[in-house]
Amino acid sequence: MNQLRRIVRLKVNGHEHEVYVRHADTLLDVLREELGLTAAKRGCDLGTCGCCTVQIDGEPILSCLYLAAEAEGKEIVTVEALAGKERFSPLQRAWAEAGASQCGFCTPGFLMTADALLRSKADPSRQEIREALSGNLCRCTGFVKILDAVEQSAAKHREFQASENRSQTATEAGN
Amino acid sequence: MRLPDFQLHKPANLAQASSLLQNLEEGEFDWLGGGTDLLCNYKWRIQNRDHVISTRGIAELLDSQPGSLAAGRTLWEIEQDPVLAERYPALVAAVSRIATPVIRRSATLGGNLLLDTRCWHLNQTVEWRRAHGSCLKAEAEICRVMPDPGDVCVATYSGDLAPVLLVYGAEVELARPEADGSWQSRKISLAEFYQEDGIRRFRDKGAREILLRVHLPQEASAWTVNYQKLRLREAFDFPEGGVAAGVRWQAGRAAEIRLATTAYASIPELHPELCQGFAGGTLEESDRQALGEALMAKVRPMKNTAMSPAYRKKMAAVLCRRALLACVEAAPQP
Amino acid sequence: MSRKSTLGQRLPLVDSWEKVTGRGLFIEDFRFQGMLYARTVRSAEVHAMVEEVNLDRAKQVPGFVDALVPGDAGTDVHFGVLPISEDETPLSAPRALYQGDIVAMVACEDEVAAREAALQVDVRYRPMDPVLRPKDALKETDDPLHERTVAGTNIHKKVDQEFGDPDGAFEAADFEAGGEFLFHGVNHGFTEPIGCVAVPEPNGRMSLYSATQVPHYVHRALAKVLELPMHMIRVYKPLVGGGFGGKSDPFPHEMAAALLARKTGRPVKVIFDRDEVFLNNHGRHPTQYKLKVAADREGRLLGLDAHSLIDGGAWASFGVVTTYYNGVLCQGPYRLPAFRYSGRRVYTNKPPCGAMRGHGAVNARFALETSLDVLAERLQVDPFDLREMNALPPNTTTLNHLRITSNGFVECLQRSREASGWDQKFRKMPFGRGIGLGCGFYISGSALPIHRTRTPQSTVHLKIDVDGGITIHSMAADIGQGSDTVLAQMVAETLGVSLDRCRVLAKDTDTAPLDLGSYSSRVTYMAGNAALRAAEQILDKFQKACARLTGLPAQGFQPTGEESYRYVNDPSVTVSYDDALREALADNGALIAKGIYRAPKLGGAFKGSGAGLSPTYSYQAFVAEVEVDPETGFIRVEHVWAAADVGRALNRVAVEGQIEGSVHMGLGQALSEEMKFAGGQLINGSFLDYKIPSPLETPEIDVLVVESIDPEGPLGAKECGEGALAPIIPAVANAVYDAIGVRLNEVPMTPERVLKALQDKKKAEAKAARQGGQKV
Repeated sequence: MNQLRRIVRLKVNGHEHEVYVRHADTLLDVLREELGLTAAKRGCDLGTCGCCTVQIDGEPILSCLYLAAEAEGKEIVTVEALAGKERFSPLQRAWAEAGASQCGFCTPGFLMTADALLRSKADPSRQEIREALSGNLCRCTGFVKILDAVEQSAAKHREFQASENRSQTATEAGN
Repeated sequence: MRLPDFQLHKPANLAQASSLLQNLEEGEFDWLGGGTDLLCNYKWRIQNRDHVISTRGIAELLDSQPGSLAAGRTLWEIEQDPVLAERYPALVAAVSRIATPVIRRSATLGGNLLLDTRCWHLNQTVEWRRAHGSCLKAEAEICRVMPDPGDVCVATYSGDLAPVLLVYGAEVELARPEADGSWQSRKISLAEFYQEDGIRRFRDKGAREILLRVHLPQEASAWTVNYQKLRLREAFDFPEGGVAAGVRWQAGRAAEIRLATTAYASIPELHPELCQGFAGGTLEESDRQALGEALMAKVRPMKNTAMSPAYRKKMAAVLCRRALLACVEAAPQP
Repeated sequence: MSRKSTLGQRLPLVDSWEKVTGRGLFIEDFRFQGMLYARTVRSAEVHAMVEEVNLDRAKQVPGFVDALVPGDAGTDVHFGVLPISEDETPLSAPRALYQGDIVAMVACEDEVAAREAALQVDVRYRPMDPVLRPKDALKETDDPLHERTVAGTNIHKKVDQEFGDPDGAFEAADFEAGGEFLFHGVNHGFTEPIGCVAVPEPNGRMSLYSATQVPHYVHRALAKVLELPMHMIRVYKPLVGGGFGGKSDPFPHEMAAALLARKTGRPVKVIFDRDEVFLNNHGRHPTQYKLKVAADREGRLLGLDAHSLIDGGAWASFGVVTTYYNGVLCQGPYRLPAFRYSGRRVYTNKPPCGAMRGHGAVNARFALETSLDVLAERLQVDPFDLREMNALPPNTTTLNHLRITSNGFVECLQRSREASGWDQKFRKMPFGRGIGLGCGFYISGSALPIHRTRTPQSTVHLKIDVDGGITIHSMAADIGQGSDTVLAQMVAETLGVSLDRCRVLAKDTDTAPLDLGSYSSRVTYMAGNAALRAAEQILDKFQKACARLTGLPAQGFQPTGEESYRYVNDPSVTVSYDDALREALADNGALIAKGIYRAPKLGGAFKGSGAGLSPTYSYQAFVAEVEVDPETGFIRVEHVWAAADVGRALNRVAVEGQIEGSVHMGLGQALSEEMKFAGGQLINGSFLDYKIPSPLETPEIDVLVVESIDPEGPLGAKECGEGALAPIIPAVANAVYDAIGVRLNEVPMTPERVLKALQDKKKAEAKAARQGGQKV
């Protein structure tokens, strides 16, 4: 067997996948190229733009700087599963209605970060939202409508998250 | 930007790491913490190695014992820790201003302390460096920042936590594998840890040696500490200059003062000699001014980051004054 | 019954649902059978002859399939966005003009191999002296960078214009203001990297899927390079992750990918890394600008004299237009009786510059608006009053024959003055806090098309069949600005149907009628009007159907807005949309209609009269409130009030979003964004080093929408997404002056520059005090 490749078992959006990938493949590479989950985007590939953000064990993580082989045994959630059984989560609905997507390229990353924020904080202030989203770059909106969307959906989204039977945030070791 | 190939190892504990290391030469492997720095460098083919040992799963690195912080803890965990916020508010404040919230979800305490030095001649794509010409820290014999630095690299150290931990008087616990597979650990003062060279960055840390924990002395929480950071944006950017100030107040007087800097050299530095004359005083405005001037006179930033060395140097005085003022304002009531 | 109009409401963009679910496909999301991954090989030299491209080592890389190298068919065919300056080739050979110029392209079975193979391509260069400084490019040379330059220099374009009597104006002036300004280059910074997939079809055609703003120009360039008739080429535009002008040229990598696809017979995908996006650039030109403006003692502007030296980088791109715009777009929103402009755009060995949001207007606008601030102070009038006093009225013509119709500029001034609390703040806040005004105007589509043809600039087709849905075909490119939504709204509004019935297919040159694409803020106005005209024809068919069904006159039926048509003279008579449609389809089949837009004939007879002509213009008056740290030089923009005349806000959310986004991008240029070079090599080509403001640097922005209802605009609308960038930069600069009393003539206004200006001022004051002392 090629020493630079391995079989990696990934649990993505509740489904188990077994993929034969390079050790050096990032989670973003594998989601997009092997699993066909192309919602997470490659904007800079160096951890600055945040377009590749997914959730690992409930935390927003830059999938371009996270090796796929290191994600074994963890719960990975991407935008594709954000709405659960609904068409849209309240956050996604608010995102569209508030005009928080223009070109939409940064949207999946922002949604994963914002979703994690609302999961941990029921009613964040505008400044808290700003801080929480400060690792995601949007070049279209000037962020105003993005902050609006998170603010407007906060209460509803919390309810939705509670009702959805999504994997709960695993407590990180050492916490 | 697919990473070039390497072989990834994921030891679950130090014992597994030890047997791995027996088959690897120094210079053949890198430790991988959160990956937010190393993998960027790898994508740009900066000193890639054939083997990468992930520390993410090493149980011992996640084990914070009382009075210590495990090196594998993510910055985010530290930031969320109410006990730490109570005891070492300046540490938590500094952590919460590193890079971005998403990067802090992956990046670790150890990774920040061991952060590789940076230089705009180096931290570029492989194609860029080929076009520009390589440098000391990569493949070549010459430095592009200074005409003749000898074989010492002047790349800038820009970790945010080292200056704060230096002021708190922290020690680091290192562990190295022995021939029998056991691990020998030792504690050294953080002030003795680094070495002023952008390439050989540590005094005597072996390649196989691993940073286990950071120890904060009992009395650390009695210090009033503040960290001031210069950068263009409140998110993303590495510091272009950073000053941590610490004061041990006693009955309204500054019994001890410490100043430490980052992003002004290839090493985070304590500046005890600058502070000596001010201990026992009350750090009046004129004192803070004088300390700021002295620090400014001492730092020698290089032309290898976004802002000019002249400006960064000038800002050392401002950062210093502001950090000291914050310590004065937060002084416990006598 | 109340009419349910979508106009002016807060509507989600019609494509936002596929964006929030991550389902929408961008260029990197496309895969094809047998697809190869290609990677560019870029010049390592700033300026060099490419003597040899050797593939020996690259061929050893497992997975290597083929490469496009200089000498391959088609690689030396010239193309470019403007037919008057086609100076690009798919590969830059024999001469590489900047570090980053594409000299070869390799294609491999996968991306890992492509990266490795590209690194193994050995290129032998013969380095040449580079031209880096614009002033050096003005000199005569034996060996200019391009064949066609001005009289043996590296000047690409030279513009000299004069109207009225500028010398007389300055002689007669009681006051003047102005100065020399320096603008560094900026990049669009869209989040989606550039990329394309070229797919050779079995029938000999070539399909190109590309992240482009202008499928039509790519289509034309491909035809030229591939030497194929246009019908053998298809261009497909997926979702595009932002453009801002940076995806509006046909690019060498698109040509090279197509050539490589033809050579290999397999689909070829190229996706740029972020640093390549910066190297590809086509961003805003670094510019040296000189300007002075004259006024009489009442504050009436008498004349303007401006000169630009524009650093174009390696290629022409839109540069001819840029050179004109840097002067022409100073002709408003103020009445100017005399005007002189000389502009020089030069070639240098740096990444090419091109069109970027607010194209050509932004740097010049800064020079003018900050000079007006100086002038106001000298005249001792309020900056708002000075501008209002000189505002162009509606329905007039400027000196250079720009036709002004709807014009809400004065209302913009009033709205932002009031909302910002200007009169309580200006010159009244403590040291370190300041407030400033910047204004502007911008074209709403270039009236003169790039290609001199009689083809309409926009055509829209509609199709309605038995399913009742309305398909809108257009080649206007939605790049996030919401053009699909505008087209859908035009149709829904005209026919009185719900927006959900409309589906916009604006992706594919095989199905869409011609549209010149998304640049120069033309889509809402031009494609919007075309959609409106097409929808009116469908309405006519519905009215006739209603007449047949009721026996009443067709013209009497008007849409209720609720999917029915009511007879005006007898409201009890209504025909539902479904009934009208069924009747209209009977014996006839699917309803189809075509609407076109062609700009009216405008402008004077002088050379360059076409530049800046637009069927109408947008207007802005922005106020910024800032806090400046005098110790560090950091500017913190606390709040922005952005009043903009958009004609009519078709969709409030989209209009606000365009203006907020413009403000954010403008703030980047104002405060932190700058392309930095060392010896001609770009040194900050990453999102870490190129400083786009984060959410933490971006203030709250109050958008104040002014609606002047344009007489020719579709339902009264005009542009809103470009003009809004320029005013914020001078607004911040003027606020900085209000805060700390220094004028910054270099942009971005980084902390270092602010601090330096403060120190220079202190030195000057100290010197003045000493001299004053001596006099006493």
